[in-house]
Amino acid sequence: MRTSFQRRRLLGLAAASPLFWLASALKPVAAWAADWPKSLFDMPTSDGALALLGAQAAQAGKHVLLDAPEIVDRDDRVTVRVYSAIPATEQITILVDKALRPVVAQFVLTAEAEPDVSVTIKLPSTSTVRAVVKAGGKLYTVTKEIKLAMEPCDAPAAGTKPQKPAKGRPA
Amino acid sequence: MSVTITTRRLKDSVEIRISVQHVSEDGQRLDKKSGKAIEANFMQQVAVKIDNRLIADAFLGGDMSANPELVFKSKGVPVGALISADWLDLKGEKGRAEAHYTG
Repeated sequence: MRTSFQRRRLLGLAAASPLFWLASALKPVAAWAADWPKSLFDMPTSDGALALLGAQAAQAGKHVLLDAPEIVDRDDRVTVRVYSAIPATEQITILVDKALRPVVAQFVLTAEAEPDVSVTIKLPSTSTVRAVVKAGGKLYTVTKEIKLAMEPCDAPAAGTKPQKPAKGRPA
Repeated sequence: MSVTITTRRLKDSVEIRISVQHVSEDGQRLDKKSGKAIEANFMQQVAVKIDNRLIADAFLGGDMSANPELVFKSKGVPVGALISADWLDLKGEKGRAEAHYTG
């Protein structure tokens, strides 16, 4: 009797452990309140992403500041800051229209975080950058164009002469 | 991949700067030798906490710069508070960075 009891216990343990592992695999990171919004980040167009956010008819965000340089000479690190003065700002999404996947970042903020975030992005070319702010269930949007001083070599702007390479870069 | 947190006292809030050391490959770049696309891998999620209370979640895409930096601000950071960032990248690697706000 004792052996069969032990065997049962072992069986029970074996059955329990894959379940445990399955459960932990389903929820890999308990730290996060929500999952990465894949469909939003995979959206190939800015319009599509705005539609997903429900922001096509969003109001112009008069109380939202999108702070970014007017013109940059390096495309690989551009700091974009979004500050919202709208009460109960709960979400800030940053989009770069010309990027292959326009949604660059989305911030979900609790009342303990100020609606003031910055992020460093890559700029594919001169592009409109958008911030979509969700506050009190309503959506607001602001846009700003960031110019890239020198377009990438493989895509010269129409009608421009090839320029000398930038300082410090090997010719 | 590593993440560091630095804090700075501002006039009426505390700045939380999260510096991420990550390749941030968007999957579009080609390996010059093999000509094949370099596999996408970028920081996907960063959860910022003060004394283990979630204050902000950041979801990120492939168009972040390499070694991206995120800046948050909060008014509710007492001196000595533990500020932490849990992170996860596209390949499933994850980690946690911590720092104390010293005022």
